[in-house]
Amino acid sequence: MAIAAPLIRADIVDLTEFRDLVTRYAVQGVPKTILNDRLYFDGVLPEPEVLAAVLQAAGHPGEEAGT
Amino acid sequence: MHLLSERDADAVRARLAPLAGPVRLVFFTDGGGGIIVPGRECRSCGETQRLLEDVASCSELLTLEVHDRLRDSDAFARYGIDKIPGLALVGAADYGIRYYGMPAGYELRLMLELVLDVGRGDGELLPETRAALTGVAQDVHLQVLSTPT
Repeated sequence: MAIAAPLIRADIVDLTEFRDLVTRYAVQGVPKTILNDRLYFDGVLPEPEVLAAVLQAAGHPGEEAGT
Repeated sequence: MHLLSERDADAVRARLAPLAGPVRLVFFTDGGGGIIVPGRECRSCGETQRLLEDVASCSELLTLEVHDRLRDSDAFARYGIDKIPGLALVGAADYGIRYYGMPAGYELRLMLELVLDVGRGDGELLPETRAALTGVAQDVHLQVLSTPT
């Protein structure tokens, strides 16, 4: 999605190297995806659901991801 | 010393065979010599760099650039890197794809998939996803937090 949209950027973060993020983002299972530091979803979701979360983070209507 | 065995290197070469265009592996590290704060030292930076050197040698389309935190802080700012070891995967454009940590084992397979996507300049999305993404008009920063499997 980062390739398809210039305003989207994506980090893949190995938590074993950055343990402080486990606490910071209250990680209880992986993968956990954080969007703009305020939304999140757990696990691997189907592409339409990931898209819905991305659109929500971008300010589009929808309530798919947790806050 | 190589981190990839000859057998693993063969597998990486095979995986990278379809690479469609040049990809720069822009690696961010702490090369040592600076002040080390206990608990904040970069334990895997050296190994990660050696691994990336091995991976880069597996395809003529891959190049590795190394930036040191102390000597090259401008590059950290330019690529938006806030942790080390950090890696920017840059193809025809910088699509904002970063990998933080050491991509070993299964994570290496994931990184190679990213390299192929970046080299192609395309992420194999559904047509409807692609269409919806054209409407994204605000910054979205995704952080996928994971652990090696």
